[in-house]
Amino acid sequence: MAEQTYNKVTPPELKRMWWIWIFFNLSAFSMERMQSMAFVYMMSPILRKYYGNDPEGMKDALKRHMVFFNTEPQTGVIANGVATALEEQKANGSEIEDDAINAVKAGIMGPMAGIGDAMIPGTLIPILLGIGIGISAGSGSPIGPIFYAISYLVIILLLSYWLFSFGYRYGMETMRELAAGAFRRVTSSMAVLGLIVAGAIGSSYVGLVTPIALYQDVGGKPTLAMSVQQNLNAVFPTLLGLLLTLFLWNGMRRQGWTINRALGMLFLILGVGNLLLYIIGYYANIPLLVCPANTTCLRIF
Amino acid sequence: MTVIQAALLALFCYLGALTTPWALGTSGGWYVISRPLVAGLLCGLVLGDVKTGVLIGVAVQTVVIGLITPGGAVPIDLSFMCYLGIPFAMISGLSPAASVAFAVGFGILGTAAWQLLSVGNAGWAHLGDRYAEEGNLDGIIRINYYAQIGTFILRGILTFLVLYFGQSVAVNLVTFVQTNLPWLFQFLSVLGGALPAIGIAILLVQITSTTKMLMWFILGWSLVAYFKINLVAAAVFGGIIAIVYYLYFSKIELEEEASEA
Repeated sequence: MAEQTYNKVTPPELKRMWWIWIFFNLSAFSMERMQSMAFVYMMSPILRKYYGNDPEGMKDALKRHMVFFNTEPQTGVIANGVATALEEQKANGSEIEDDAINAVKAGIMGPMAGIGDAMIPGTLIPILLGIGIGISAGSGSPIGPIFYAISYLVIILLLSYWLFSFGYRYGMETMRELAAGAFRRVTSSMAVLGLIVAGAIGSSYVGLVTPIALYQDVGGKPTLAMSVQQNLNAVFPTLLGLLLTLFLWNGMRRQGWTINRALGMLFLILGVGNLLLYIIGYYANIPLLVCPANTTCLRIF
Repeated sequence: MTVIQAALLALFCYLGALTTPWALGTSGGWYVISRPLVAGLLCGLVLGDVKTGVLIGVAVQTVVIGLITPGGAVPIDLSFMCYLGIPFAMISGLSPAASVAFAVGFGILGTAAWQLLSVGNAGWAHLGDRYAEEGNLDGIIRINYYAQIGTFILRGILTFLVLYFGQSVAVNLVTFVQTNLPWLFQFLSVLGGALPAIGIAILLVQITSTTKMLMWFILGWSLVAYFKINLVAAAVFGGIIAIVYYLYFSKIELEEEASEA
């Protein structure tokens, strides 16, 4: 058989594929198949190039890429890069099973969904938003949101394109090696960063305080004698927020709560807590737990 | 609110929806236009009061700052929170703190819209399967555009109708709740304060493969609780610790895992 020239994916095609993905990654999102239709759209330039005159090959390729695909779209694009490299090799005669391509996609999309969510909406976005909030809080200056919009888009687009190219260039072999060692080391170290920042965000923004306090009757006026929150602040500020977060985490991880269930629990705790304190403060008229007249007595948290 | 103002806000709501491609997909839409901080500025520009808009945006942003949406699970709908909650709060003359409670209410109602869309879109996936059987690439590409119909109806048209025809109702509702049901506002604002805990707990479930990893989380929490450092400082410390972890400990952990297996 005559030696065929190796038909590579050209740089403009790669750029085009990445742009399609950036724009359309969630356009036809459904719970059932998530990002698979966007994945096919992204692959369309090279599917046309390789299978444009081969209806059977096209059918196989479409079925291959219509399977469930879901990852953090901006960073998980590394899987799209690897799949592109594999399609190129397959179309140029390498023996690559359909299952192998999908196994690689699945092997990358899973970890990248977790670590990508932790790194982008979990770390990068809150940090940039935190800076933006700092600029605009109090003054209402438009610079904060403008700073956020520009800095986020520049960082994420450069990062995403780099990850896509990385996936394409290194292809399957490197990803396999990486998956065995270095990739795991990088993701677990990133998880450390993500967890520390998540803790910092929680501590900064979960606003949960208790108004439970003891009041003394001083000449007919209720006067603060002892505040639970003030004592907590002296030992561990924001402790209640931490306990609430860990409670919700425990529910979701150990008891398998759905997100809606966790939200419902939050409603329930705050609602029942508020109600109890309201009733105690309002009706029981316990001398040590009297609320001042006009008052935050409604709140337990 | 004039027809044009309502239409502009509805347009932003649509462009910023999770499934809208036109504004750089999720990167420019969901992660920029639908962040309350940015939405506050856009609502302020449209309604002619940038300062109030941004201040409300800042207040609303703090309660959803760590929100992630794993596998399309949206605990609080940012689209309606941003483009119904913020504009209505502005025209009702609510304070930023009270706006949070109001926006949280819309965020919770909006999750229903998202559920409807993400389940309803499965129909497109089935059509896609049929096209795949036929080898019809163009058909599958077109679905990416057709699927915009649902998003546009829910985020564009519905938002416009609610904004334009619901504005007097919203203002009356706010006045009614504030005077007659103050406890509801108070409850929603307490809920708003506690809401970031949900986003962070979801994030924790995503990244903690073992319970002992929680120590890193508690470290970050304690750093801020005791030393009051800001997020950038926390990220710097976190980055240093992560690099030290990578260089000295990550290999040991992998070896331990391997020997256990």
